[in-house]
Amino acid sequence: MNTHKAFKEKLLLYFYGELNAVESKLFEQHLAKCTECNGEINRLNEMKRSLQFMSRPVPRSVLIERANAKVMNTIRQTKQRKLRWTITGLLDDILNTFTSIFARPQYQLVSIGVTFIIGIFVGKLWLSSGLRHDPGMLANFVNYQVALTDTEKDQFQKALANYLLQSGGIEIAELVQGSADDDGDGLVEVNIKVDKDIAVKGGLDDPTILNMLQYSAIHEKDKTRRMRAIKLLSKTPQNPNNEATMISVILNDAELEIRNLALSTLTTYHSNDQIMDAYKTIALRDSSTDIRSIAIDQLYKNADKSIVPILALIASNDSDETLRNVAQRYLDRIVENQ
Amino acid sequence: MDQQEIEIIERIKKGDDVAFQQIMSKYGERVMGLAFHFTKNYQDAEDLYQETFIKVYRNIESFRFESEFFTWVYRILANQAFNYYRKAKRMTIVDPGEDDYLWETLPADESSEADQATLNSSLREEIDRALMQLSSQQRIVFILKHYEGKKIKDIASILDCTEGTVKRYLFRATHKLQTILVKA
Repeated sequence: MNTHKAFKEKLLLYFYGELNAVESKLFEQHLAKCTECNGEINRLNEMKRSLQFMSRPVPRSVLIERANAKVMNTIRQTKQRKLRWTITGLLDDILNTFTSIFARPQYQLVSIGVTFIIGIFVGKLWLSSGLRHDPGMLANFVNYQVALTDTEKDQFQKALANYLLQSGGIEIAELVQGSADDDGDGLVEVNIKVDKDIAVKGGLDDPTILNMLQYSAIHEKDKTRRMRAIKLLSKTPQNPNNEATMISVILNDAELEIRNLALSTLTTYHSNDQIMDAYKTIALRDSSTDIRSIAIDQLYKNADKSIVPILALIASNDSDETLRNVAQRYLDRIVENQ
Repeated sequence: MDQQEIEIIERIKKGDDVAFQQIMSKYGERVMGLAFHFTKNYQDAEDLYQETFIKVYRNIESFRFESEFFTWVYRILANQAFNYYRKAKRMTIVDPGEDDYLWETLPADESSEADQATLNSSLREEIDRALMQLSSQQRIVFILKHYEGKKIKDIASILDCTEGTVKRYLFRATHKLQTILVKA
């Protein structure tokens, strides 16, 4: 039934040429009589005319060639990646196969044996390679260390600051906008105060660990920890920093037990001017008779006649009778030896 | 589909890159032109073009010769265009930039007598703005119908939807554009 409503529904299909020949003819007959549909078709044609002016740029061949080259480039890269993934996947498969075989209980002994043989083989290679004679190579092998450039150092400090800020336990101590910003370049300096436990692991030959132990021996508030630091330091070879640490502990620590420990370490060191000066001070000033006595012993064993005035001073004026006797005894021996 | 094109596609399936370049050369201009209609931006048109052909290459195995090859390419282009709209990338109207020398602007209807450059230019801008007011579905359907002259059933096949859906989008797009462009 071709009512006006039915024709109106087909109006756009007619406009877009989607009706078949019979339907088109029927619609055109209706159009000749219907002013409303006629007006609608006129408006659509007007729109169509307007749309003729729509920008219709045509790509030049150079653009197509450029775009095609980019497409081919992407495709080639994908192929290369695919190849890499295939190789990686293959290696992964081989590794998984080996792992699954040698992880079986019956093959565990074989695995250990194979590992042992490979270890011997690698060791032999190492020994025969001459690399073991290359200290630089060894140093790099054992402890990879790189000197930082200023930029890297700057970046490292920023990274460390970021890590500390994220993990908490720090405060920004000072914000300086100094002369560097006079020209308005926006450079500011921020100092942060760190209050954070950082665990550092390493052997007693590690300079960082040694530094921390030396600091701990002198500044640690907890007595047990100071003791532990001194005990650990006593296992390390004599060096100026260790000497200074022991001397500082003996001269400043309030705990007798700790001073004793430090002194017993110091007595194992080869004597030098710094150590001798320290013994002189200890012999005169320490509050403990035992410690002063040990210091006097050490002065006598290691020193020349320059200790005579000190021994004489103690022997004549010291309030401690034991020490007076010790000093006198050593003075007598010096005289006898002359 | 002619035999020669079938052979070329078979070669692409076997990994022949030269054959793929032949296909790009054959359909490149049409795809780029359509990509521009969808994006109204030279740079985005080039991006859309590349994404389309990369997808064509990667999915060539799934082409089963059940439709015209270019209909299949159209489908990929339309899907990429939907993605482009979804990402809400630069939706600006034609921006003559560094690459505009790579395009040649022709009047849509070469028989048109309206060669008044200024009038044409302002009309173009108005039309582009009007097109941008359509939804992405409406715009794609309208462009395929109006500028590519596709039949509704072909558009339905390209967009993988029913003819009824295509008609709805087309009619709404037409009414909207009519309201904007034929207001006076």
